[in-house]
Amino acid sequence: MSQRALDVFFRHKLLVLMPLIVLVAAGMAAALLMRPQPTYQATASVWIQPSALLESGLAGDANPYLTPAQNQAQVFNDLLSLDSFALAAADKVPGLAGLHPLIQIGEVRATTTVTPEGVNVLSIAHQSPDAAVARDVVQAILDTQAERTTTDVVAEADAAEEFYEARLVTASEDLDQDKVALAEYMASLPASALADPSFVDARLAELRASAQRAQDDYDALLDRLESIYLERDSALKGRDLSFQVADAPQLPTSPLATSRTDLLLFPLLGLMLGFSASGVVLFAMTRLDETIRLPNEAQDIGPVLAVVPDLGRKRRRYWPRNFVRQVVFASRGLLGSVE
Amino acid sequence: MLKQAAYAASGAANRVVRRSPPAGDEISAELMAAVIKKNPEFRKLDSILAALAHICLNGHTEPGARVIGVCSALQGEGKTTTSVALASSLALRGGVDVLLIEADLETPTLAHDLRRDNGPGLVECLQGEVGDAAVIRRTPIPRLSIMIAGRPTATPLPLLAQPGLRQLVTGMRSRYAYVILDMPAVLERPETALLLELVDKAILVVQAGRASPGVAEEAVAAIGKEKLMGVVLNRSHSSAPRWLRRIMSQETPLPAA
Repeated sequence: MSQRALDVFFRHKLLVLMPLIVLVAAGMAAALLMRPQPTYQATASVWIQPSALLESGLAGDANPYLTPAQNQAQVFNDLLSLDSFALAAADKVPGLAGLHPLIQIGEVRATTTVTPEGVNVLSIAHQSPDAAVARDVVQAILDTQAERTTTDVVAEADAAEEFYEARLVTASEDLDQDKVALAEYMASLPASALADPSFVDARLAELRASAQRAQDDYDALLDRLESIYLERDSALKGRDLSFQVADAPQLPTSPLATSRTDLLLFPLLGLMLGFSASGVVLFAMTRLDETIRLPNEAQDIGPVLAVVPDLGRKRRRYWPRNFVRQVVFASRGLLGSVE
Repeated sequence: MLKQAAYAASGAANRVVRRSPPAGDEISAELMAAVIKKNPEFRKLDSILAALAHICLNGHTEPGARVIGVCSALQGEGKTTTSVALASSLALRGGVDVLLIEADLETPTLAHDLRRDNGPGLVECLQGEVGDAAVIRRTPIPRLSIMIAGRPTATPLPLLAQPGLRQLVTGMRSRYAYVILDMPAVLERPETALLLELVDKAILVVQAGRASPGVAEEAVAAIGKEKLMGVVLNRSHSSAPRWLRRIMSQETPLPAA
């Protein structure tokens, strides 16, 4: 069977190899036609610092078990899933102007990836066939997030300010009361007793300690209030201390490299299918040809006395040589006739 | 010597044939020499069929097996070529007298193959129109004589059924070391059964790529296994490279010359 298949293969090699050739060619054509268009990627790196508000526990929706970058990545992904955020970002991209809002949203959302790169570093990347759009989308996401953060920070700062100011008033009143009580008690004591360093009075000591505690509380609340003022002022001036763009998105100069797997997929598929199809053709032709062709097949009938080659076929093999001879012969004849 | 296939094997030989029309009763020596000497392909064919002659001459036939029939399952598988070449090789290499009788009376081709006019032959001899000596022709090959079929007949069976053929073959046994009978196709002509009764051994010619094993086995059954000397695979051709065939042990060793 293998000898017969070998013989059939070489006798009809073009026919047997035709499916392989056609399918590999089709695979290569498909790879050329379906070649992905060049894609550009712009990336920005953001440094995430937990804010005073987060530390204070007022912005309490962050997961304490995740790193700041992971928390912020989650926030970004949540925001990107919002149509309003994606549309607000798309509105900032000149390359997406005039497109249908749904297309704009899809463009911003589909090929944007937000990945935490470390504890505090976040990477925001966007891929697009247009290099400028890739850069502008990343920048737009950063800007939209910055705007949103500013609004949130200001709102949170306002709330915190109100809260701490109320507490500061109370603390101030407590401090005043403690100071007044201390002053009144000290006035009731003889001046010689107050001048004597060895003088000990339990009531005086209690009033002094109470006044000191009230002063400490007041100072702490004042510090907190000042930091809230600072954060709000920073946010309003566009300098969010907890969200700093470390590497701004740049205009990509070269497209992303096309994957070799994508390039070779169709030709390899064609190769595999072609081999299979050629194998089927070879098998079918071998099985369908039931005639005696090889000496070992003739031996099944009787002892093979002689094997006579196909002389006519042999002659065809030499036609180029004969053709050259005839041309040379004719040339000589022509040259002779000219002379 | 020989048949169309041998001629066709070389354009040069064909040109010689066209330029040198044979004349006279004998096969043209010029024609024979041209084919044998100028056709390298024929030398290869001759060397292969020499092996066949070697087998015939060296004990592969039983003692007294002097009448050898060459037949095929179907018409046109190369039995005339084989029988001519076999007879020539036997005469040349064996140095014995050989007579080749063309027994395919319905479609004789030997005269045409040898570029000869179809003069009187076996038909005329069996019909009593001429004697056997008049239809046996000498050839340039020493010790080889041929008897062509003669006038084609559409009903060869009654002619061959006459005792004349048996008497003729019996008479030739005493005059020739070997009598080669070029017979019709076994499965297509009923008269082949009559001819098979006259031969001691028969060679089945199988054309590669034409007959199926079933047809060949049917032909072997018609010949009879005890009478079958062997098979000649004609027009065998393998397109696979020789080295690859060797690797796959495909090469069947040919009988040594």
